[in-house]
Amino acid sequence: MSKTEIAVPGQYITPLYKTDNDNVIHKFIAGRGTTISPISASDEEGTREVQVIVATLLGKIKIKEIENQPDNEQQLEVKNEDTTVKSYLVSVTPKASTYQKFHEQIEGNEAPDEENISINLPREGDIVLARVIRLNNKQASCEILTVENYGNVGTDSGLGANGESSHKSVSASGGTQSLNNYSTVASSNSLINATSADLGETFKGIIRVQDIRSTERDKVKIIDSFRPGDIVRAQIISLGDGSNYYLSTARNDLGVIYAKSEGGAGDLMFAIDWQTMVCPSTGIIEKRKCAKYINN
Amino acid sequence: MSTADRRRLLGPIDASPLYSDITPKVHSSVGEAGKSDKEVRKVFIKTGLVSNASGSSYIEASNIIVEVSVFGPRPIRGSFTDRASFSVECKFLPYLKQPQEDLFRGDTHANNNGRQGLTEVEHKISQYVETAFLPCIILEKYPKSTIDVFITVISTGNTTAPSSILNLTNWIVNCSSLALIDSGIEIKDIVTSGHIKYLQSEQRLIVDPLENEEREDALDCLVSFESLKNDEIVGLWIDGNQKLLTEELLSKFIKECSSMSEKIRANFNNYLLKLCEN
Repeated sequence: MSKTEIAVPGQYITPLYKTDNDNVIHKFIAGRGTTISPISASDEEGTREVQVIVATLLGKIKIKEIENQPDNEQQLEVKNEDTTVKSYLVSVTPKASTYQKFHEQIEGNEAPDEENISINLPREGDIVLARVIRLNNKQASCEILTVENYGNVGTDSGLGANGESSHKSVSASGGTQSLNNYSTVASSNSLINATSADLGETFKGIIRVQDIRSTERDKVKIIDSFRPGDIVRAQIISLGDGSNYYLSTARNDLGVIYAKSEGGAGDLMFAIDWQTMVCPSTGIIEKRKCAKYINN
Repeated sequence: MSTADRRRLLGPIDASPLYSDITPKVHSSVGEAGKSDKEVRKVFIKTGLVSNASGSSYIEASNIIVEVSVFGPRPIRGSFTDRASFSVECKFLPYLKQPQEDLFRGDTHANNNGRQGLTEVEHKISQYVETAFLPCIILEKYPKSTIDVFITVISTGNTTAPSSILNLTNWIVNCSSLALIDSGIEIKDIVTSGHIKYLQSEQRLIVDPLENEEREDALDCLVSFESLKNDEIVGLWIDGNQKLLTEELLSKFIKECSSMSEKIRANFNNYLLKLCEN
């Protein structure tokens, strides 16, 4: 069962459960770009509330059958022995995002639909690419650039901080769109005291010294692991506090993937083992926590 | 924390706007002429004009021109929040005469450039829009962030009568919906609204009135809906001679506003589907 239809936000896609004549219960699960909304429906028996999956984005509806997990099946009260349950994942994917376009250019095929959403705030467990901006002996601070497979974090932060206009549009004292002027903010019933960062400021992350690698944690030194300017592949381990996500590189495939020698003044370096990088033009060797980033 | 408005280019503090008592004859742009009482005026809509905003939209409804940009979700400073904060700011361009501005600001020649914050009218509109959109945005999906809506009124209708705010707000709400959809922020339903005017002496009910002159026997009603979510009302604004208001009238108003809002919704759906196909 698959169809491609376009949905607008609020559009009903399917009720949570559907039954067929042939003793099959179709169970639908709300995926990306959808939510479950109670809709009142009237029929001869009166008005009832029906749980319906509705679209939250403008995009294509994708309905994909998923393998049943035995646990889930037990949760459903199957009264009849002959009845079988089929589960489907319902998602709405927006029209090609920047990430999807890049994916098509590089890989030559379409990116999987379930990986294409419009706004990609980092979530726990996501792999992100981050740029190291500051070090101290307890932690490395970085700014999160993209969520792997999902694209840049926020369009406007992408333009402001990562794009070509970064140095032109953002003044040293902060951006022009900042919200730190309460007198001009009309109303905010939803939350008090949530001050937004300046325009072009990205979501920030922290890699603590104990999260750099999984072995011999007490011997890790920040300065031997990262330098400002490095691009790091890391995993979100916690949403952290108000301003920072907590990141970890304690896995073989996580760590520095891009670094320049001599504090950014030199050339691009290559990893020769998991804790050393070498600059091919000068032969200089620097210490990093390198990622073994091989796709297979 | 500085209180100056750092978000736009301001003129010199002592600048004063050009002001004249002569109301210029404004040529109608879209579908002004020959609208019957039951029709909704024709509008021009366009989304995605502001490239550095997450989403934006532009609407021309006869003399009303509104632009809305949505920024966010953007990171916050300070303590952890499990959901996004949502804020709305509505600004009239400084050369516009605002509805009821003599009433609220006490001086029609007030210096727009030097003023700080929002005027009463701008506040009222911002608050209405925020209340209308709060239930539809899924704020839980965007922790530690802010979603900011900036509304710029580029042109108001012909008049500055109180009831023209309702008509303006009606189009602002509709325009903001499109901007939110364009931004890709997840919403539970599209919010659209309708505005009707009731003239007691003529027993006349006008949908989306073009003329908003002040009258003693007039009642104005603006209602915003989430049409697909059980027709939930997310905003209600009544203005005019409230002594005329009866329960019967009110339910009639809501019905008429709902049908206008549904017409707009249908048009928006059509526009969005075409946008997706191309």
